[in-house]
Amino acid sequence: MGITPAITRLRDGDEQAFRELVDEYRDRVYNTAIGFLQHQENAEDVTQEVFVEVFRSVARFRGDCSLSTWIYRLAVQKSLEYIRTSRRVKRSGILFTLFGKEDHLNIAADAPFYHPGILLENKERAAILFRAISLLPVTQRTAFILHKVEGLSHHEIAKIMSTSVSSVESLIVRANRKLRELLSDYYEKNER
Amino acid sequence: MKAKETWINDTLNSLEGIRRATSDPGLFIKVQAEALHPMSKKRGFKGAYYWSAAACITLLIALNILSALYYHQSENLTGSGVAAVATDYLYFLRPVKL
Repeated sequence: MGITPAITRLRDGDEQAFRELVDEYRDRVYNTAIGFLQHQENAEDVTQEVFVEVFRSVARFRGDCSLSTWIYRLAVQKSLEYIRTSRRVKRSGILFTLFGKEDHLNIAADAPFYHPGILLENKERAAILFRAISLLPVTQRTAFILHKVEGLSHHEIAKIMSTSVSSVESLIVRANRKLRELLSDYYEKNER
Repeated sequence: MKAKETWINDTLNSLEGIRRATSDPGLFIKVQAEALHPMSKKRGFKGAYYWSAAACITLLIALNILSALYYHQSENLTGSGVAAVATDYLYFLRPVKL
């Protein structure tokens, strides 16, 4: 991959280069974050955090993967970190309620479903599907979201997840199987 | 059974035709502001956490000092060391006045 001229410009603190980078990648990062979080403000926070991280650590970027892969990797890491932090804060909810700190609590299953890219007629079912996706193991969830929501190829996902293409394929197959089980349980309890 | 399979397939296919969500066009300004003047929520969360912990510890220390002062001044605490402990905890061994 190596250090491209664009990365060199970013390292030199070129504001125009950074603006171009944000404009090129902001929708991809936001869409990835919303795939994990399904919440507008939280996804915006994560998108912002990703670019701040890019701004701060581009000097340390070694160029052993493409800029796109690196940014996607950050988007996935920050989204998962956000979910973990929210769950941790939720567990210590009483303490934070006492100190008036509740702004991180509304996440995924508790918050109303939000994804502006889903067709209106599919919204209700997609909300159920995303709730099931949030119950998948992290690697299956990541592969599934990057493939189905962000529309990346297995090859691109393999690079982002630092794994092989066959592993990604296997993760997606297992994710689909698990989702079928979860949806089946949901149907038995709610739709019959 | 068939209805259930259809429902599961329809739910799994509900992501078909999904469009990419678009972000705030003013994101660059926010990122620039955050990168130059960091005030992230994460730091705020950590700060609140540490301040809460510090407040709890200070409160505990203050209560300990107050209770120590109170017992020191009380009439039961006539001696010091073993005598004080004996007065406080072994009061039931004192002879009963009839």
